[in-house]
Amino acid sequence: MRDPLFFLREAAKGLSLHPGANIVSVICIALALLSLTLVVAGGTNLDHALEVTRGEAEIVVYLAEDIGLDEARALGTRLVEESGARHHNVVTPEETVDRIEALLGSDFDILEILEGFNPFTMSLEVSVDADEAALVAARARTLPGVEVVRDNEEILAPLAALANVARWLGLVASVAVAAITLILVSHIVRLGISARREEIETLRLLGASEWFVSIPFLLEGAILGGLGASACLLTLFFGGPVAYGALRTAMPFMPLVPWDHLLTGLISVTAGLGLVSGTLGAAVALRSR
Amino acid sequence: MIKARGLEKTYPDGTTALRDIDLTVESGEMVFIRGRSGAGKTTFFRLLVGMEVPTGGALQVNGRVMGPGSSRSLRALRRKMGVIFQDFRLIEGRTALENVELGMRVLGVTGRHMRGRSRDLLERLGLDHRLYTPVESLSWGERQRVAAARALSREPEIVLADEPTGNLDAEATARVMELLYDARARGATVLIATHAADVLAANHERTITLSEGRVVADIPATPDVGRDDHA
Repeated sequence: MRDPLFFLREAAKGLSLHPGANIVSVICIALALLSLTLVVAGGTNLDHALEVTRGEAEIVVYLAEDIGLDEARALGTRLVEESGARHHNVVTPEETVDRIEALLGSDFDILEILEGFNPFTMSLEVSVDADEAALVAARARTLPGVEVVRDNEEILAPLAALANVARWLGLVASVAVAAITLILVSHIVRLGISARREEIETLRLLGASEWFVSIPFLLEGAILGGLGASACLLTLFFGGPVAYGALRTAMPFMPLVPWDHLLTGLISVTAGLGLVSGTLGAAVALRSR
Repeated sequence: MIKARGLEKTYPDGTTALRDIDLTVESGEMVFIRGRSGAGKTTFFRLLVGMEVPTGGALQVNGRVMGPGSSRSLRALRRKMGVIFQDFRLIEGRTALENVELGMRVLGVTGRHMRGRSRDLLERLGLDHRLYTPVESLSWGERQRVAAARALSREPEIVLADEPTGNLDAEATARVMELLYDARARGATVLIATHAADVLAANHERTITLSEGRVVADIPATPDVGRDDHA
């Protein structure tokens, strides 16, 4: 392409032929991309939550009633040595009660409810690598004095399933948005081709290559897709932080990906999809002319 | 070189535009094709450009057999041609200068050379004050000159000029003819379809007369009469 400005001017001239239809297309593409970004943002945050939870992987080993503090420490040390766990922390029955009270509120006296009887036993909080959790748990179950072992698989499993669903949804949404953009752009470009049929014929009579004829239309498609992506990103840029803030307030326990980081990812997805599917839409129109 | 043998063209509605045409035009030759409206001049040109395909006989242009064939070889042939279409085929919404430049752009000529040559030709055709005027705002005669400038700016091997002076006054006609002679002097094969008696009288080149789709006369050039004597 020896003179890219020429082709850009030609594309701009083509776009100026149907301004109304082009504006509607850009809005539709922007809305489609916006819905995609919601799915992608949801999926990214679920993945993030999964990662955070995995990073905090911990198993809890509940010991038998007759295990004292020293024995519990020894068991913890043995477990760390034999299973490759990171470290352990012994939680006494008293600490367990304190934690429950802290969780339920300061004016709540659980021992009073239990009439002075502390039913809890010694337990070990064992920090592990997420991938090693199952192995450490299995090893712990074989140790003498161990009653119950709880790992966080019960939290991780549904979270992973949810993230998986989000990933699929993201994929389906991407394909749907690409298809919508492709169809819209191909229709618009087809209109342009129809309006400029004589011009195209003249170019061919002058010996223009198919590329020479096609480039302005491909650029038209890319511009439409790019404008749709820009409109979507502007909406995200100004509306995103507000929505994200509201989400943080509503779900303070949910570990969210920092907004700036998320936006960077969304820019690449939106711009890439807008440009590629816009260009492909134009290519489809050119092929079927 | 252009070679037609038993060339025929019949349209789907049954109208026969050309019948049994036999002619050869050598490279570098200038030939006038005369005939009344409907004689088949434009159909012959459309066959030469590849806008139509023959329905009988054979037609060769620069070695390419015209007819259904590869679009690549047709494109290559068209790139060697400079055609002044009877209906000009200018692109609306573009200025006179842009239209002329476009003829060169498709050949990959860009930049200063393209612009300089386009301006030069338009100025030689008396359109220096119309360079930046959209072609739809030009008179028919001005449009015809823009079409001539576009065709000749490409320095073609074959020039096909269909009624190139039909809308021009004597002065503009002389300017266009001068450019066509320049093209011939450069080695181009030049075919000019016209029914303008004054143009034919002033140019003593080979003249083929078509009537009802047939060649009815083929008068050779009179080389002893120089073009400067009658241009």
